[in-house]
Amino acid sequence: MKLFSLTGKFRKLAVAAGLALPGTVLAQGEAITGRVVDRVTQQPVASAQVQIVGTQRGARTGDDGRYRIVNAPTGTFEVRALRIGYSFATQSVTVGSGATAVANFSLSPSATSLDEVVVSATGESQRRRESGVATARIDTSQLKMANVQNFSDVLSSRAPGVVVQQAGGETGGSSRIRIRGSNSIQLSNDPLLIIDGVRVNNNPNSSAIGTGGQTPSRFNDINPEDIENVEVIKGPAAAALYGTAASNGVIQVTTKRGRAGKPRWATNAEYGTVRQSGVYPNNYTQIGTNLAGTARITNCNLDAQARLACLPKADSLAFTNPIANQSPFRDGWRESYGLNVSGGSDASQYYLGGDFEREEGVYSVNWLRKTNLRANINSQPFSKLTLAINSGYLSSRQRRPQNDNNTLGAISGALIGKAFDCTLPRVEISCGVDTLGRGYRTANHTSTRFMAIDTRQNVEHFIGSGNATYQPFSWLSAIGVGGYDLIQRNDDETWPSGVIEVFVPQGYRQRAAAQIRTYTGNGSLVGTFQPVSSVRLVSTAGVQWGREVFTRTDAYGETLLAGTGSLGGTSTAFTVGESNSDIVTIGSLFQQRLEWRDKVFLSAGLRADKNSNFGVNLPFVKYPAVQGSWVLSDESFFPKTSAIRGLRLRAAYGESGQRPDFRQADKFFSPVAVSVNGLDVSGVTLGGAGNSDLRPERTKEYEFGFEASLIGDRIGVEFTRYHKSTGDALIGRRLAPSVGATVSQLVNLGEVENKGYEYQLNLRPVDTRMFKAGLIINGSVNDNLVKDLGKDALGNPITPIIFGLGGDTQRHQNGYPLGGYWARQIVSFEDKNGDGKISRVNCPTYGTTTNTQIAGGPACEIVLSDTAVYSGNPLGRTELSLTPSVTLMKWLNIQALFDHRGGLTLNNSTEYFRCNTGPNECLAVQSKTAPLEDQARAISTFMGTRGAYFEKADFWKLRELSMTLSAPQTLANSLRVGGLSLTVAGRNLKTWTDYKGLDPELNTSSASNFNTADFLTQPPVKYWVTRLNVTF
Amino acid sequence: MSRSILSRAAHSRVTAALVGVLALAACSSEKILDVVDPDVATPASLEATSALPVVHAGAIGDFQVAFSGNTGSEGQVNMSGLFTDELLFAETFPTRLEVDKRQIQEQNSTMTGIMRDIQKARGSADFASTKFAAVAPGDIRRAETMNLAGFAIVIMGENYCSGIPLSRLTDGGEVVLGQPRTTAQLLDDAIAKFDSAVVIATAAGTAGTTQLNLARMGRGRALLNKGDFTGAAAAVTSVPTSFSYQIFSSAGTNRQNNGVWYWQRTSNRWTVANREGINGLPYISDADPRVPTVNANKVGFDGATPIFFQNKYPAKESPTPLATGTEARLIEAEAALRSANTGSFLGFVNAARAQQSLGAVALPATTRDQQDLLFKERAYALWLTSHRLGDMRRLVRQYNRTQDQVFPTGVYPAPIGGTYGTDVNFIIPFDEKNNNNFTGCLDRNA
Repeated sequence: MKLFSLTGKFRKLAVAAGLALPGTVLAQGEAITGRVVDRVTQQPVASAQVQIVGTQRGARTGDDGRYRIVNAPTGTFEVRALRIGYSFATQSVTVGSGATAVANFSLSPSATSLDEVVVSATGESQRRRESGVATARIDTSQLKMANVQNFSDVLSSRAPGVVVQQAGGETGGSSRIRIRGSNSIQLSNDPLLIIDGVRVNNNPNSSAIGTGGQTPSRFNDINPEDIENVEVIKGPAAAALYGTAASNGVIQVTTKRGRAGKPRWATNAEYGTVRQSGVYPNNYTQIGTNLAGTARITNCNLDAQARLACLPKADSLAFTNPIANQSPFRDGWRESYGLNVSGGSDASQYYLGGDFEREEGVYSVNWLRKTNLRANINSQPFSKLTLAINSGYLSSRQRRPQNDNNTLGAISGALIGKAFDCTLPRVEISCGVDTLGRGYRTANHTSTRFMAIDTRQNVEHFIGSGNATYQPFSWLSAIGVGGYDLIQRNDDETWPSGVIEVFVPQGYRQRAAAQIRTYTGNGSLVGTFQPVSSVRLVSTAGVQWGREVFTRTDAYGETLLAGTGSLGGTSTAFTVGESNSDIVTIGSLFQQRLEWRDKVFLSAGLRADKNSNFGVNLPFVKYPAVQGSWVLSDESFFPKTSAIRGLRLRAAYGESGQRPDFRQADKFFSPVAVSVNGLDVSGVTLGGAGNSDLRPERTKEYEFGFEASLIGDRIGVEFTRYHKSTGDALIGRRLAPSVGATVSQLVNLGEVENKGYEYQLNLRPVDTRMFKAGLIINGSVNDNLVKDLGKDALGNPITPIIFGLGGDTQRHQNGYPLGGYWARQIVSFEDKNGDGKISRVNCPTYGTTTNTQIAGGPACEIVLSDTAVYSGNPLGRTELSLTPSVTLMKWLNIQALFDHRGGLTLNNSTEYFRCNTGPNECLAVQSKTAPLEDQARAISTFMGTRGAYFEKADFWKLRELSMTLSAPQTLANSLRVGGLSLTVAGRNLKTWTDYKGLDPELNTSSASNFNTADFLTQPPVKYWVTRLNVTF
Repeated sequence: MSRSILSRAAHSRVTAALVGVLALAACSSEKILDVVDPDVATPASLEATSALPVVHAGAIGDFQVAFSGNTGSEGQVNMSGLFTDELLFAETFPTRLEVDKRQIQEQNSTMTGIMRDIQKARGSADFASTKFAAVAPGDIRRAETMNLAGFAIVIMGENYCSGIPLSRLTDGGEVVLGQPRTTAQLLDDAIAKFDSAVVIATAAGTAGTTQLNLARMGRGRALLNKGDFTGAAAAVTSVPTSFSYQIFSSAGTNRQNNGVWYWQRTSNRWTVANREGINGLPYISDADPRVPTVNANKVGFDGATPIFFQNKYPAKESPTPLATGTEARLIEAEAALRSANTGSFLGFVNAARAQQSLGAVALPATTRDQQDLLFKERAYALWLTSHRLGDMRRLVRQYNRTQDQVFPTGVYPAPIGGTYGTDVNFIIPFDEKNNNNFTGCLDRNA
């Protein structure tokens, strides 16, 4: 029923302003409507795109398979229906004046599709066959049947070449996301994130307060429930027109849209468990005596014994397990609830959604609450104008635990703790004053105190975009996009007074309020010309403007009044600070595409950019691109057999860039406070050496490949070979300390290469009404290499860039992968005297580390390499995922996701530290019951190397397992709902690996570009959730 | 529907539109790209006379970071104290353990940082000096920046192996790499700066007294390290015993906190040592008022080592003496001892003690005991001021002692265990090899 009616100009204005109400029909112009179903099952196909060929005009099907293209032009057109997993279908449709034409489609399942639609840099929709590159598209319709907690989970293992490294098990923690390897030594390697056409901040290290390792990521502000479509544009060959931001690839997200028709409601509810999965080792110490046997000592370890520093007592290996004594963990849980409605008229459609998510992690002080709201409105106020207003809002509240490289962390407190439960009746004398510690590191620092520090992050995140497409002529479209991404982030930490006896026992409060704004403004013209019937020309020209603004204010005070948790409660050591940055990019682009008989596509483009972070001497930077695509199977000479039903060849070349970071081109001095004769005054200190010739990094990439549909469309194959070369790579050329300046000066020097291949097999061996079985195999290989670190001012090769946990565990070195592990390695070891122990006594000096020499003592039993050697790649070389699925009777779906990484090495710094440092808690250094190999590893650390703890970390994981029961339509009808499904799904369920630490994916520097180490990090948690989806 | 051919009018419209789009991108690009950076100062903004106070303060601030340390940087006082017998490691960080065990790796990141800091202090002082030279060459603050540069060089000469280059960054951002300097050359470089400061300070009259005495102290310290005992004594003889030049710290910001206070008091990284490694002095058990300590009744960051706090710097704002009249008297005492004038020697020693309200000591019988007395007096009077490492090296270099008679040696204390290494100075960090004039220490001996 109409609530009210408007006419004429008022109607158009109201519609343009997005005032259309659900269910009202404000315009009844020409339209095309219909339904899309699966040819085999006759089930509706949701999210299919139906488009008028040769235009940007189209619509998407709802869960019921129905669509409606409003404001269709009159005349006869080809209309095409496309959906991932199906072959496309086309039919001719005639639209009369004021009439609604009907076009129903029946799509055949297909393992590969050349006609799914992707969105280009200019906002133009483009069929896959028209592009010369491999753009991965993630089928989001499967996500509600998977156990997906955040956007990183959405990306993980679903697109070849996209590697998501989960760093740990902290609720709200970030992951490292890489597409086709790492390009940049100095700058970010995170892909560009675009939502509904506008750039969005995706900082994976978005916090002003450190807790030891894990950090919140803005990537995970995206609500998976809001996503309609995710496209991954993998590199410069595809992303050249994105300009100076896209060398790391682009992740393009389209949020859900409304569809014309009556309101359709959908709701979901999820509840599940979150459980810690680590198996934590004991802490050991060997009790012994001095050589005279007169004094009892602890830590009479194998090394001390060999150096004749002590004598072990028989049967006196003490051990305890602090986590077993007093677990800091709890059984966590999560819940989420969502409700959305979509509908609208021919003139305007809406999608309104809201979700609430709550996750209680495995520590009592680790939780996350998120509230997401989304309102998307599409409008066609005039037949030639389409408007879209998209807005998303997130309110996030997160509490973060102390962990990783942090002695106040529970796991660190346990793993590098004591070998004694100091509360046992026979109090160990070495416990000293500690009677409560239960084996945790700090005296009387019970695990409950780990929970005393209150670290939080509250975020309000708004993403708004407006998109207008004006088509004054059938051959010309003008597209305008404006966007605003606003993040209000508040980090705060309260350290209560009188609770923690170390560092700041008087307590403190710190707070950092940040505002992060990203603006987007794009405009482009797309002209389509057909000089002859077999040739179609598409010309695009556009301009883009972007601005990234960051401001942050920090405040800190100590001596916190007991019972308060505000800066107002502090009375000493007040500190304030402020930091600002402002980065502007402008660019123009031009692209010409030539299409021949809808089977050969050639395009060339050029983008020119300038950025406020470039050196002042730099003119516009230009990025060219060329692409070609040939649908060979459409040629008349191509054999028409079911063995090969479709085949497309493609190739592309493109260049893209990455700007330097803010202020890197400028020599500057930072203001500091200085005490001069006892009075605080203003001073300056050199902040940056600057480089007025600083250019963007430039990545050139070519790729080629094919897609094929085999065995009657039952096997889809996609293969891509790529080669990327990043030149002008910014190198923080380390300055000699004697320069007396900064650590490094950025210069465009280096060259980094990434080459490899990606493949996807989509197998549908069985596809009947009663039973379906499928298997998707995604994989990629990436060989990353530092080609050249450049030369210094005198023309000599720059020495390797050395960094990593401990200061020297990783390197950027010519001829090896970026960030590879380097250290002296064990060459050999042998228990020469047969005493069951590996000893370094009488071993030579390595570097500056001397080893005990005992005349007449045992021979050296362990040999190290003379120099540091390459010891593995922490970013891995291969990734492979298997997604088997079966569907029974249309109502039961079982699906799994197996995830593999290969060529992966991880610095097991946890065990290194346990063996080498402090009370040396690891078994391998305390007891000869440990295997000789483990002993050798432990003893080698006393010889000055960590190399033996760079462990092979290849793994297979059962990442996801889900079972979904979908109610038959008759049951749904009887329950008066449109659809009903119940999913039970698990995540991080099982790991197969030879890695000896807690988990092969751990990383104490989750958001770091390259720093990678397992160091006292909480392993990934295990999820089981139950989810109910209902549509009305 | 598509047009089979493009009309002339359509062509014109498209062309105009495309030209307009491209023109929009090109026009006024510099204006669009002009952004404001309110957080920092540009080099141009430091050229004016009005900028001299902040440049001067900057030099002092950088020296404080390098010398006393702060919450982010250990500083030379802490690290030389850890390397010698003044402080004992009580934590977990391997890079600082290497220092206490006298086994410093060339790629030790902590030591790379403090080397950068002391070189930056020198560079910052030199930078400030050039700014004064341009607009106020006779300003007494210029003498102070020269003195600070000189002391930075002296400290490097005392604490590091021979072969430190002195490079610089020009105002234009160009790196000018220096040649390795022997320790003697380095000390000569410092003396040249002190001599220049003396000229300015003398010309300043009464207003230059403090900087004049500071320059004399620097010159005397440098000459002492060179083995010119007579020259050293002559340099400092007119410095009053009551003289003291302090490097100030402040509670104002973390960067200004006293680093010795911070690293020990807030996180228990090390304890005052007592007879560390056989040769160490009994800093705790002697209970000398010049070496104030307090039993913290807790264990260190390592969860095992009992902690004794130093109480010379009891607060985050405690100042650190860089040069004192007490040190001047001890330099004169050493010169007297070297010339076998034991009477003068004892007089100077007791004058120094009297300045610190301590009673007189008697003259030990043997020359070696007299040397031991001198160096113990220096150790206590100059405790935790980055003098001890230079003194230990001089005991080897100038008094014919062996390193294992001077430095902490033998079995390293529990729970770490192992043995001390044989380093007698800080190795120049690996990063210096980014200077192609540099290949490594010229001499690692004392």
